[in-house]
Amino acid sequence: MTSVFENITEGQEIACQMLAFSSRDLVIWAGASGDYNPIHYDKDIALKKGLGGVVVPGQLVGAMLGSLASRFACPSGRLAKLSVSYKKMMPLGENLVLKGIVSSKADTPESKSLSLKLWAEDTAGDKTVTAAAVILY
Amino acid sequence: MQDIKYTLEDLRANPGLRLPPLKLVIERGMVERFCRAVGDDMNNWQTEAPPSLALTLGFGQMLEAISADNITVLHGSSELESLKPLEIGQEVVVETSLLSLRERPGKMGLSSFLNFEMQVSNNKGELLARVCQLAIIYSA
Repeated sequence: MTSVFENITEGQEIACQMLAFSSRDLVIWAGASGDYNPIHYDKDIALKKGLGGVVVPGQLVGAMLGSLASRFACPSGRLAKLSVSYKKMMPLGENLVLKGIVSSKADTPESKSLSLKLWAEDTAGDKTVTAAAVILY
Repeated sequence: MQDIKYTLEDLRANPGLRLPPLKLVIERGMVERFCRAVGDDMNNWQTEAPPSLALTLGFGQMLEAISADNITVLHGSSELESLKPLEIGQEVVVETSLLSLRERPGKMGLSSFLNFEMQVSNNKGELLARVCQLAIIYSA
């Protein structure tokens, strides 16, 4: 999934990505990110802390939304800003869909940029993680 | 990983607290692990890391520093400003500081909102990325 700046339009959808994380996925993320918070791998601790069980690290989903933006920006654009909010707990095994749209496009002699809105949606239709990205060309 | 731990009392008493600078290399293996974790194709990142990898730099250090057995740490938000590419093989320094700490009572007891900033610089002192991480601590 790549794009050519001139062909991009405001409101354009960014390809959807469907996900369901396994315990193994969370172990891989822990190794990649250094996030060893036990609520992401130890069910007993998560329950003791009042959570329903192991929860997916929000930042894993945030980083995936960032990657979605980076891939959309290829080959000539570059992710310059990413703001992520973690809105709702995501239990392990929950099905998620990553979505995004082009919210605005600036094309002036001084700068070419895109603003993207991205989010993860759970099976209830709630946005669990939301993000705003700026792509510079 | 360093073993420095800060209690909430320590954090309250030290506004602007700085963690020890973290020197690291943007190794190919680090980039591969990140790409694998987020489902990205490593072939797209032969010479530089995906910009969103900067979200992870210093995150483990921050989490270790504030984690204690009797608290729960949740993640509120992340802000990334990517100024220059993180080149593979490049040495960087991550400097983490506590920008703010505010507290309020909530359903799960006292909630503490800690806003940390990570500045990622190269060995010439040029800023490559700035990240802000909001950690929420419940004393339960």
